Amino acid sequence: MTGSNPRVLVVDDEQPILRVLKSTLRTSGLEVMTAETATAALQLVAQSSPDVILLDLGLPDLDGKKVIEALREWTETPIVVLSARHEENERINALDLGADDYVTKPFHMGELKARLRTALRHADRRRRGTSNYAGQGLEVNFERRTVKLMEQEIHLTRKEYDLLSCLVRHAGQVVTHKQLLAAGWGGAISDTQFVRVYVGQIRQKLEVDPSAPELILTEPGIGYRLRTDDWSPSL
Amino acid sequence: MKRTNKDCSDVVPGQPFLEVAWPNAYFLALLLVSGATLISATSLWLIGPRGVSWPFVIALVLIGSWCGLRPALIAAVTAFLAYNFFLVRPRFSFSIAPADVFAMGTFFVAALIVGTMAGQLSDRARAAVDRLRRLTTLLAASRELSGATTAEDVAQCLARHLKSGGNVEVAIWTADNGGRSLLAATEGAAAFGAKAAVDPASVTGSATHVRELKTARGDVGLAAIWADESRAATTEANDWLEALLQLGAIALDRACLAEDISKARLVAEREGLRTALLSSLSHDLRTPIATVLAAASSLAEYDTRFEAATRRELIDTIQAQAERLNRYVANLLDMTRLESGVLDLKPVLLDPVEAMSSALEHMRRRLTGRRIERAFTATGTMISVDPVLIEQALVNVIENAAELSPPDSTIHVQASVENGEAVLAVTDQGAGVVPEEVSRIFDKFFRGQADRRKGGGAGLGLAVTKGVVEAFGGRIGVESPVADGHGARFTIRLPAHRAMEAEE
Repeated sequence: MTGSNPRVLVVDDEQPILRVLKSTLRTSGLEVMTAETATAALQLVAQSSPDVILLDLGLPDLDGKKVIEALREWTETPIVVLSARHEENERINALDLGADDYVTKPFHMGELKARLRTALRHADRRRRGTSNYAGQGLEVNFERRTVKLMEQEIHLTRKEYDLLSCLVRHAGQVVTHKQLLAAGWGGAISDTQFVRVYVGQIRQKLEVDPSAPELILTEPGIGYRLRTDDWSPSL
Repeated sequence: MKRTNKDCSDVVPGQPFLEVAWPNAYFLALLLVSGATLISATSLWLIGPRGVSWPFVIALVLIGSWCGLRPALIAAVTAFLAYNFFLVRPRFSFSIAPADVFAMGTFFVAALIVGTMAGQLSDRARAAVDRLRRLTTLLAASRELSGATTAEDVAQCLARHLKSGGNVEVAIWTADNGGRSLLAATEGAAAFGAKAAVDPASVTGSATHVRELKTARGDVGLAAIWADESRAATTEANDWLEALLQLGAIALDRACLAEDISKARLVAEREGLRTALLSSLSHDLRTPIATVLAAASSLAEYDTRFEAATRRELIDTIQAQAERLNRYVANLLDMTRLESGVLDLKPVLLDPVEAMSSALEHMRRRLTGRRIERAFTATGTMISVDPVLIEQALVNVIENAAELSPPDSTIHVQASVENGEAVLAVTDQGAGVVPEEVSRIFDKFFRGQADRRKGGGAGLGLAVTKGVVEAFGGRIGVESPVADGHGARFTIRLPAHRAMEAEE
């Protein structure tokens, strides 16, 4: 994280949870702003440009998805969505509209903070425009389009590389089937089965045990997530 | 089946033409010919043979126009014979003097022509009137059919019109969806077992016509028709029948479609309710859980690194949210029990003031910062209620007031006796209830505008309160606004019992 404390905007209409998030995130070294409505949130983002936005999808005045759309028109600020478990479609839509990640309610504070951290780091990487990635023994050089696992060069087909690099660029964050289809096929195909087949092939080449993947994790019904060094599902 | 006195050729719908029907037509013809004979005989006797045939001409014209072609022809022959027998010499004999052969021939031809012309004209007029009547009845039927909303209404209307217009007995079944069921049957059709018939095939054997009611969409029903077998149906009557059946088929199809649509809408509404219920459940259960889990996991992680005040706040939050969760679950359980009727009502005599105080105590934490105005005047009165349920009911009303009014406002609480009833009322200074929401505010899972804005509220509390209050013979109402266009007052009225009785 950067030198000064990163600033997070928490948007939720539930007072109690807002209070808890405020206290906790502050103690963990983030500067916290809060908003209870979409209108207030949009205003705050424009005024004080936070480093990351934690957005509840069920807002009283405006659909959370509309907030994401409005924000994505002018800012790349990472958005982490808070949503209930049964709102799976909402979640996918939010991600496809440009949200960076999601946390399911109810959540452990540790998990939430990990997601916020990942989002911040991702934004940082994007700003600096890095040409390579390293984590969990995996190294990817974007300029030379090479992939190494434990120092061993791995040969991937073009499509496999396209999909992997998409996951790597969003390392630690969820990538939807739709995003992967766009990365591999330019959106010409909409059958998620293709993604499953190719991810299966990549796993064959990268995972120790492809049937119990530890590098490319499945987000059921949504997409995949590349595991990073500081992220573990047990949090 | 009832037989009607109708000419066989008159298997036309509606009333017989000019009230003259078989055998009356022939009887009338005979009568007129006899009359003409009598008048002619009299005039022959009085004024001689001149003008003797005129009464016959008049009679034949009358017969032709009143009774139709066939009676007119028969009358013409009868008139000729009567003329010959009674009036032409030699009288009382059918033999004709050679001099009279020409006159008699002329009379016969004239009688035939007059009778035929009058008869044909009359028949044509009759047919025209019939056609008009058929059209009118079709129009009336179609108007009534298009007004019928359900398949049964349509079928009954169709059966009624077929019977009254076509004089047939009718039974109508639904389309064959793995079996037909009877939609309508005329009274006479019952004699053929139509009403009892589960399988129309068992009765259609006796029917004159069996018609599948069909539209472009396919089979919409089946009609069996029993017509009077002694009558040979005319093509026109048959056409009328077919036309009406076709109209009926279209109307039936429309009614079935309408029923399908309303059924689909009902399913959709039920689905919508289920979705609303699920999302309400999910939201109301999950929000407190999420808050508790977030606060508890924060405490676990930071513990001593939190400032004392922050820690206190988190612990308070956990406590408040757990209580909220508990209230919600209690409401949910009460609702289920109220609805399934399993709720075991254990009424005891309870002081209404005590009930209200205990509910307020229960909500003490939630009401922090509010001014509570108590007006407890219900002394010496008891209510017969289940203490746990009535507390829940009152807590819900108080919570509703707390949710929907500003944090520093006043909540007025009342426990009094009016007209032999215990009155428990809670008045808040919130935005009040929108008039259009008043009627629905006690509905399950209904959340008012203000409620939705806040994102809170289960939409269950007031429904439970209403259920509980009614279970103990009471009622609940809401007034809003109360003062200055603000506030709402929820009033619960329960039958009051004298405290003395409780001690007996």
